[in-house]
Amino acid sequence: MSGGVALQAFMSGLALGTAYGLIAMGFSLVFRLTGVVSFAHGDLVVGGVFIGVLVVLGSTPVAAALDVMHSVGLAVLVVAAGAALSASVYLLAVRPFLPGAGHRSARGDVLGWVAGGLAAGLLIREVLGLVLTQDAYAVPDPLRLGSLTPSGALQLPGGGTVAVRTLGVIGIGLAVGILVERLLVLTPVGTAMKAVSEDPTAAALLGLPVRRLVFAAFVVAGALAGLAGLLISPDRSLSVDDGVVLGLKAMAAALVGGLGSVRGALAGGLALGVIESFVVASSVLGPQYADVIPLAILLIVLALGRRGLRSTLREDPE
Amino acid sequence: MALLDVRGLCARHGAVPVMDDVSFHVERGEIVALLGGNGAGKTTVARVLSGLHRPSSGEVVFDGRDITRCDPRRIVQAGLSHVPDGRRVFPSLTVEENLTLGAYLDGRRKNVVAERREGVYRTFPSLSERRAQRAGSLSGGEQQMLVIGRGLMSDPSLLVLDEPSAGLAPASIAALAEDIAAIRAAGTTVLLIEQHLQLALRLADRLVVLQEGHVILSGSTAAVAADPRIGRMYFGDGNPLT
Amino acid sequence: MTVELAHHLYLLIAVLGLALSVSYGGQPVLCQGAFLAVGGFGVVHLERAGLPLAAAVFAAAAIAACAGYLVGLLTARLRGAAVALSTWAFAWLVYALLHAFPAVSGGSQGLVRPTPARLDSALFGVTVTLTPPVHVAVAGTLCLLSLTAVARLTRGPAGLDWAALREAPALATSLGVPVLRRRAALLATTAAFAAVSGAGITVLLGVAAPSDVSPLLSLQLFVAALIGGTARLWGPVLGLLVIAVIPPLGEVLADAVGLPAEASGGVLTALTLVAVPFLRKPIERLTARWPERAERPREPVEDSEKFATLTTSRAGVTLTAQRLDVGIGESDILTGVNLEVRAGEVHALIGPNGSGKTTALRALAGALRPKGGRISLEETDVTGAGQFEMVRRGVTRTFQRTVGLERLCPHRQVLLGVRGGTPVPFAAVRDLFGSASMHDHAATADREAWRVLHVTELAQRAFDRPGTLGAGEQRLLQVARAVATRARVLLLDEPAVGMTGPERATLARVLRRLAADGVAVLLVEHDVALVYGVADRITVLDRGRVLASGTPEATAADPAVRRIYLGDADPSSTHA
Repeated sequence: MSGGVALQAFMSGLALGTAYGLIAMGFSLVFRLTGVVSFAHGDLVVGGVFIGVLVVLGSTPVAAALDVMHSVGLAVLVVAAGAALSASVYLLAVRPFLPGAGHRSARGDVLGWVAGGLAAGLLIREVLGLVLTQDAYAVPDPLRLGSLTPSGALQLPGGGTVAVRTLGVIGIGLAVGILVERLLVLTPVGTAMKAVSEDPTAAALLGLPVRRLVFAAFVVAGALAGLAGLLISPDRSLSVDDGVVLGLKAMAAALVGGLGSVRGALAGGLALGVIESFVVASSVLGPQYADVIPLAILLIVLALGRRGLRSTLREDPE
Repeated sequence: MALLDVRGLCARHGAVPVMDDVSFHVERGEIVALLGGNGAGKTTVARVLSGLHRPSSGEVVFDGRDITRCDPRRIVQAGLSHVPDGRRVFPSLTVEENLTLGAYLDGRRKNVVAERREGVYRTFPSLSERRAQRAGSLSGGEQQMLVIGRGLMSDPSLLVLDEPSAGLAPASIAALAEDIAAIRAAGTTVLLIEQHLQLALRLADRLVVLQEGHVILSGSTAAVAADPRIGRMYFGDGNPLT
Repeated sequence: MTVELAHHLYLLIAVLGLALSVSYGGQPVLCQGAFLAVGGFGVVHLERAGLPLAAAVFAAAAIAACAGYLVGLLTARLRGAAVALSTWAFAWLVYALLHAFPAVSGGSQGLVRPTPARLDSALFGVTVTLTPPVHVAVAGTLCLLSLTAVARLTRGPAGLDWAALREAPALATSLGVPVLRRRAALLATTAAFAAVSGAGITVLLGVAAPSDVSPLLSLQLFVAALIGGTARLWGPVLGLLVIAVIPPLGEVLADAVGLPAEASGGVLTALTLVAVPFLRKPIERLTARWPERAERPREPVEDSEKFATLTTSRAGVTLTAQRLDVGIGESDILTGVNLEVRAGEVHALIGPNGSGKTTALRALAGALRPKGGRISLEETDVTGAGQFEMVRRGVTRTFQRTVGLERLCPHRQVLLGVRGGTPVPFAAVRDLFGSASMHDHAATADREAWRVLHVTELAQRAFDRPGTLGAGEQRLLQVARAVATRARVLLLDEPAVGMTGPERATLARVLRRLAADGVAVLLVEHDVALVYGVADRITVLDRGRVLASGTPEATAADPAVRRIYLGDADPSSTHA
């Protein structure tokens, strides 16, 4: 792999990784507050994008240039749809199985919310599949990042090129990711969320609205997922069924970044995106490993994870 | 009228009854101690009072209002603050953040919150020195001060303290006793749930003794302390210790 | 029609196999489709390599079993949700691999198996052509065989292990059941079933395609197993019926609404999956009301008098801790604790809340690794030996909270301890094939169980439902289970919690009887009356250190002990 190709792969990996990072942040946030592994999380990404597309462009979208109204509409809708979907998944498929405040078993009916999350994801895919019958769709770019320069690309040292879009994705994604992370650290609501994640019972005893904060976390996670979809979908043709693997990759990113750490999730996402990008660009492995390697990483981290992971994911001896 | 009136409270964990017909009351300005060994049902009483545990029957009247089946938020709003056992600070947050969270319901009124915080720092000067320190790095005694201070931040009329002395060194327990006395002197009524007989005897105006989920004794501290059953509760019949 | 029936019967094999892990083992396994793929693609490749069909199916099943064992070992330590996550990821990984390597999977077209399916048996010289009706017969027979096998196993030692794995893994470990290995073995069996099912379907349809073994199939099979509910023999059959009814029902509905038929099937599956977790609790409540086939009360082979006098015939041992330091996470719980639990003695460990009593007990039982110091059993150093190993060496603990096995009568619960303490290699397999030695083992175990029930005065309740036992009897049953592991050192964590006065007297009697039999008993207890009535030796802990140790009289007279219990001053004079 030449230096130029490597740099190009690195840049596109960062773009991909930003999206993974945003999804993983939401996943981590939700896990931290509730201990719930959100199985429908990846489907929020795809669900958000396609709901936006369906509303703005109809069921036969063409990757044509959008006017300003449609662009803004699509961008806002995708993020809002992600948030709304996440909220509904929480209310319908997760919350019924969570214990009330101060309950002794901290995780509630695990089989219930696992099956609930899987079912919600499947339902999103299947309902979208009723309308969107093609294998994959090219989604237009509402942010119109590619039209910033005439060619839509920049020359990189070493001979490679990088699309302006890629830089835009990295810029917007990282900015939002860091902003959300800072908000979670600096605002009272963020502090309250942290308190709930550390000790929900003690938080409830102080009068903190535990359920509302958890709901808010799901909404934020959904919005981040929608944004991630908005950022990466124009780069590839998107299929309704892509959600699951996207979600699993985000889980891998969250695990690599230390489960429950929002900052770590963003970093883990970047790492995973770069790894995947190099795997695809590599002459030894190639594109067919694009899904294989991240899923293998997920399994390895789960099985042999670090101490911190062990305590949260492994069985309590008592 | 009593500030807190508990009438005929029964509660169970699953199928196991842990509290049977528990009744007692707390007058304004008092320190009442609820005494009992492990498994006597003390913590369940506290959990029922603060809305964490639904009783199977009975009622809790606080400040003239029935709060039996309210959620914890309402109960905090009504002025009952429950400081749980086990020194449950939020370890990764700073001392200041922990305290501020205690006044979450009044979070908008920043001046009031800051004023109360200063009040807590006056009561617990050693916390004041560690405002920016993470709560997880405090010593056991300081963590206990922090959770009590956090409980005071909602400006409660009744403070329910669950086993504040557990696992503390004797010197810390002595300091704790002074702090609790100071809190009462400042006008807050205290329900002290304890296993530590000495601490209860030293502080309480009245004692309520629980055993196996029943109230077996209650009355003024002097009267209860003189009762032979108190020694028996701790050491059993014909025991060389008594 | 026949083809569809055969297809569903093959899928039923996969569901029955999955039910082993999900319903019996309590693990949410979401990768049954991946194991089906191993069978389906494996059989084609193995046949191409020259193996006869039957051998290819066996080989594929063996490969799948190995894969299952490996996945099982990797996930055995994880919590339920993480098991679901990792098996779900595994299902997608296998799916991604099938897509990444068309050489293995034949690409989206799949691998075609053109040769007519003939099964030549050299033994009888018969050639069978595998027509759909023959498939139905084969699959049906396999289903019936598996149902019978599962029914038989549930009644035997394996059923006991499963109940413990599912309902109380921590308890199972404390009784000497190798939880991790059992889980992995269950998943291996599950995978082998799936491989047979996958191979059958491939031979039936003549093709193995990646899209037929997608993670969606894993999800459907999981739903089928889940509908079946927990540990009901016919549940999986019901579950598969629901799954099988969905596509035709979807078509009917789609016709009515005017939507594409194949898509509506997916939506219905999704809706079913949504409904299942909500329906699970009510269904369980409903089935719990059906009178469970009560176990026939059996009388012991010998009369009661004799049992009470039987002894363990195992030599007593002494468990010693020297300068033990134990910490959980960052904080130190115990510092420099010395403790000696002697054979034939009841040694009580008392102290206020948070003084480290339970931590000491857990460290001695091997559940916590000490940071420093030494634990020895007689002369042998057992510091850092795991809980499982300690049970094998005769050191068994109980739990502070009542860990119930709600479906097992006391006799079976005690049997679980007996089997855990004296394991029989490959008990499940030998039991399945009715080995004569297993019969002897069963008789010995039954005898031992009766002895323990008599020693702990629970023989009268041997076949009652655990729910009808009082709180105190439940606590006594915890002790009985631990005794049944043939423990020479018993570590009891507050056995008297929730006991009434008479029950405490019974407990005291039982403890004295055990000590007389040469058992070393460590009793963590806050009921000081009970302690002073029963203990030969008392150690008082305070904030992680030994405050006093010695005979009951000596510790009672110790001023430090009086202080932590009574306070500095005499209570009666404080408010005089």
